[in-house]
Formats: sequence, C-alpha cells, structure tokens
Amino acid sequence: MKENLLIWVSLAIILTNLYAISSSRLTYMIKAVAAQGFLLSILPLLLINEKNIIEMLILMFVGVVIKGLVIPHYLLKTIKDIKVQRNVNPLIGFSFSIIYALVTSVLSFYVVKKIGSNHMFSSAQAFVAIATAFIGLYIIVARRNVVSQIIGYLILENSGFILSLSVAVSQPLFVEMGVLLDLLVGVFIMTMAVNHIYSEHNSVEVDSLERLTQ
Amino acid sequence: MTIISILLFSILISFGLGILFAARKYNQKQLLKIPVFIASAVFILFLPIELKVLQTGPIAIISNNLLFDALAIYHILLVNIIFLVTSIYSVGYFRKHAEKHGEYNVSFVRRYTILWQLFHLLLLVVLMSNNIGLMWVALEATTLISAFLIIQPSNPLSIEAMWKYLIVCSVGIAFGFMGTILTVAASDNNITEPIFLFTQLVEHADLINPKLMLLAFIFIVVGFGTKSGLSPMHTWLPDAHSQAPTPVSAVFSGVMLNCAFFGIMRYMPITELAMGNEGHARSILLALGIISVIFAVIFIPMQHDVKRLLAYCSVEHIGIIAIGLGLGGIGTFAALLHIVNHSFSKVLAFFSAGYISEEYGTRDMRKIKAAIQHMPMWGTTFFIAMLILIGVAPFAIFFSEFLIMKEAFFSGRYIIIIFFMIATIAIFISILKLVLDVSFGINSKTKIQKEKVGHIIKSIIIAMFFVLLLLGLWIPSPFSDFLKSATDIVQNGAKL
Repeated sequence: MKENLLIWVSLAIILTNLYAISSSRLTYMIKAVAAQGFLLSILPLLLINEKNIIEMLILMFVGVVIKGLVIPHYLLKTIKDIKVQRNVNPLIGFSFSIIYALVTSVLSFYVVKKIGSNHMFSSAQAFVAIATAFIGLYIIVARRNVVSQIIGYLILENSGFILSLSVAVSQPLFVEMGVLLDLLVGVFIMTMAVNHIYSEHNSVEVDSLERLTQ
Repeated sequence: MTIISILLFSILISFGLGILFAARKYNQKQLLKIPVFIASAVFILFLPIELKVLQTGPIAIISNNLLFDALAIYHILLVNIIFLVTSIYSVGYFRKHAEKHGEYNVSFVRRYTILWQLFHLLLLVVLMSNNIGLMWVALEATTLISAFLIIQPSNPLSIEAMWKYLIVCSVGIAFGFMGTILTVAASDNNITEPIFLFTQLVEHADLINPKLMLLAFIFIVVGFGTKSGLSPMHTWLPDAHSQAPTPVSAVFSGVMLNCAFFGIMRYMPITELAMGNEGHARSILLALGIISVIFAVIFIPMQHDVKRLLAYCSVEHIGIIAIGLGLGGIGTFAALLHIVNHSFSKVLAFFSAGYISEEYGTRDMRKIKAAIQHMPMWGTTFFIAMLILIGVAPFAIFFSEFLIMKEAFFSGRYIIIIFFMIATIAIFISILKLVLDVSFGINSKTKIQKEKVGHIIKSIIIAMFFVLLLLGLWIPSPFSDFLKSATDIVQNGAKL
C-alpha cells in the first residue's frame, strides 16, 4: 500500500515538474507548483507511526495549507495586480527544456543508483528530489522573469523537502514548522520585492535588473 | 541553568519591547535611539552568560538545542559589540543624511528600526543553535529580514541589489538545507537514532558515513559560503554592500558574513572526524579561500565606488579566514583572530566612507579628493582603517596574516606562502593607490569647515583603533586562552 502510494506520488511530482518547465504561461506554472506542494505535503503519511501520528498530521495539514493553497493564491494575486505579461519569455526554447527535464531525470536516476545503494536512502524519493532540484535551478536560470524565479525557488525548496523525507526521518516539529514559516515569509517578501521592482522599473523581466555590474 | 534561561528570556523580552516601541508614533530621532538602548541591554544581559561559559565551560539548554561554548560566545560578543556601535553610528548618520537630502519618511525609519532589531535577534539565534535544523531556519530568516534593509531608500539600483541578494542567498541557503539533510542521512545508521545536534554529531563522529558526510559538507560550504561571500558564490555581495545604507553595509560586512561562516566552522570538525582527519574538508576551504583572494585581486583595482571597494575587500578577508581554517594548526587560531580584526576595521572603514560619501554627495572615488583636509576626523579614520585593512604593521590584521603565513611555512606549503605574498602585495598597492587619492590630493574648491562629531562616536572610534593596535602588538593572556579554547572547538568539534 505504502509503496504503491509512494510510486504514484513520485510519478505525479515528476509530471508536475514537466508541466512547470514546459508551460508558457505564469498561471500554469503557479498551478503546477500548487499541485506539487499538495502532493508532497501528503508524503509524510508514509512516515506515520504510533509515536508521531499527531506531529505528522499537523505537518501534513500545515504543509497542504501553505504550499498548496496560500502561496499559489498569493502568487496568482501578485501577477494579477501587476498586470504582468502572461507569457513567459524563455531564454531557451521549450523543446530544449523538455529534453533537459528528461535527461536530468535519467541522470538523477543513475546518481541515486550510484550513491543510494546503502540503506539510508529511500531511492524513489531521493531520485525525485534530485530531479526536482535540477528543474528548479533550470527555471531560475532560464526563465527571464522575476516571478518565475520565485517559482523556481519554490521548486528547489520542494526538492529539499522530498530529500528530507527520503532519509525517512523528520526533524523535530518546531524545526519543520520553522522551515515552512521561512518559506511563507520568503514568498511574502519576494512578492513584495516584485511589487517594488514593478513600480520602479515598470517591468518584471530580469533583463531590466542588470545595471549593477563588476 | 535557570539563570541562563531567565537571562535569555529577558533578552527576548527586550527585543520584543524594542520592536513594540518602534511601532509607536515617534519621530526619526527617537526611533533611531531605540536600537541603541536595546543593543546595550542585550550586550549587558549576555555578559553573565559569557562569563559563566568562560569559568565553567560549555552550557546547553532547552534539551540541548541551544549551546553556548567558547566559539559561540566569541561570535556573540562580536555581534553584540558591532550592533551596539553601529546603532550609535546610525543616529548620527541619519542626521547627516537629513542635512544633505532632507529627512527620510518616518514610516521608512520605523520599518528600518524594526527590521534592524529582528536581524540582530536572528543572527544571535544562528550563533546559539546547536540543532542543525534550527541553525538553517535562522540563517534563512536573516536573509529574508535583511533584504528590506537594503532598499532604504528605495530606488531602481537598490531594488536590483535586493533582488540579487534575495535570490542568490535563498538558492544558496536551499543548498545548505540539502547539506543539512544529508548530514542527518550520513549520521543515520542502525546503531544510533538520527542525530540533529552538533554536539551529538561530534560524539558519534566515528559512526558517520564518511562519503555521505563529505557530500553534505560540500553542499554546506556552497550554501553557507554563498551567504558568507566566498567566491565564486559572492556575486550578490558587492551590489548589496554598495546599495544598502551605510550602517547596514557595516553589519553585513562586519557580522553577517561571519555568522554564515560560523555554520561552516561547526560542520568542518564533524566532517574531518568522520573522514579520519585526513584534511579533505580543510582542503575544500583552502581552495575556496584561494579563489576568493584571486577574485579580490582581479576586481579591486577596477573599483570606483568606495563601498564596492570595501565589499571586494570583504571577499578578500573572508578568503583569508578560509585559508587560515584550511591550513589548520595555528592557522585556525589566526583565522579566529582575523575575524575580529576584520570586523572592527571594516566597520570603521564603512563608518567613515559613509560620512565622506554623504558629505561629497557621491561614492565615486574619482570625485572625492582631499578628504583629510576637508573632514579631518572621518578622513583620517578612513585612511587609517584602510591601512589596517591592507595589512600595515603593527596593526592586528598584519599580525593575523603573519600567523597564517607562519603556519603555511611550518607545514611546508611554500606555494601558498608565495601566492599569499603576491596577492596581499597586489591588493596593498591597488588599494593604497585609490585611498591616497581620496585622502590627500588637492582640492581647492572645498573649504575647510568645522566638522561636528559626537563625543560618544569619537571615543568609540578611538577605542576600536586602540583594540586593533593592541591585538597587533600583544594578545593579553586571558584573551589568548579564550581564543585557544575556541580554536579547539573548530578543530575537534563542540563537546558538552
């Protein structure tokens, strides 16, 4: 049962990655991240035992609310407020992006096979974590828009969360809550920064932010 | 233990009060005095804890999640001093700014005061934490809180600098998160429970999986190194330092970089112990330190903005600290000494550079001439602080750099000595050339006017110069014992 759930959720997370990297609209990217946040917030179910059932349920609930609802809602509101151009201007074409996603997924699989042969890792989750990290970094670098950089950061942060589940231990609850709080405050501050950028530069393209050099 | 908890609780209360008062309707002058009171209260409240640790050794509280040992209190003392001094400086600096450009919006100053105190609190949490997760959370929170300190006042350039800082550091710290997780994974074997505490990691270091721990350490160095300004992850640093208001640049350079580096210092002994003390972790730091110094050598001569120059100078000094740690032995001792020397002299340099650039209305060093003639006090401070920073004897930075070279000599790494000599001489020449033009030169247009400098800030500057001179000539034995116990923690790990 647990193995089945794990495999389906992992597969679904990989699909959200592909969706985020291949969509041409910011709203679709945000929805992909929302789906991803929802999916990985239910992964702590796999770690439940009698001792930590309450902690895990709290973590799951807070995770779903913050990653699946609050953050995506807030991002959607931001792009609506600043009337951002809804199409993402990619620095690198979409077909290349999909090839990149597939290649890095295969690469992650081999990396995990190589280092994850001991008992410490649950290989499926480590594989998903590394593949997701590649996607997050790619979106930060290749999409020339500050909102998509936030999305890339969220995906990178998600990959850290999956990695922490792959070692099959969770940090004490207050630390996990701290991580989620940081994420929430982080997105809050980044969107405030986006508003500032828009009001000063009248654009949210990264190219307008290249005046400070050397 | 209860006394320590009460003290910590009252420190928390003082920060809370400070933030509450800052939210009330005061004017700019009153608002800026709040951080001075709070920083002094925090400085005084920490003293008993520091004395207790010096007398009886490490103290851990809240089921060992917070740890006070020699290394931690060394940094805590530094953070408290720098925040106190910079808070006092802020009052005068904002007044100077108001004279030249008109007063800031009060809501700006209010936000500045609140964020300033939160920033101070979070840096202290980073230094106190014994839990690797807590340290990560606090370090990420410092990035988020301090981002908005950069855009006071907000203009297109400062917003660009803030965005770079926010994204580069957040992505860096996300790598740090993976390093944290991998550390837990490395410690997880069938013998012990998963470990989250530094002290326990040191205790069970022989059971940690060495390869996975090395991987974790690489992630940690990349992540925390981004925040501490190690090249090639330093890209945010010159922008943020040049655009932020001067007091913020001073605390960024003076303490924030050290606090991020403190994290690396906590992980280094664990990695070394797990890998059987073969020096792998130290070599990584040595390599990054050398790269940082090379970047500084290349970029320093190109600078015209005085605060950018100081920022690249920070990259150089963080690199030197990393080289010291990488060499080990006396090098570690020298690196810890260098942290204090660099913080003090860099803070003084930023203070004076801030005043000079406000007075001249530009940060461009080609347009600033005859600063000593024009502003005797701040011009002289700038000149001497820069001389200290480039390693003029008999000041303290010369001494700590000399100790690092001595260690390289005794461990037979002559290439590093040659590199270090060439690099420091190159930086010496290029900075001296820039600074001489700024400090002396002829400027007939500006007339000499009487400079108003407060007595408190004057005595603080003289006291800091005195400390820098003293540490260059002779280290008092209680201080050197204290430094030696901190060195022992960096080399052999934190123990209870």
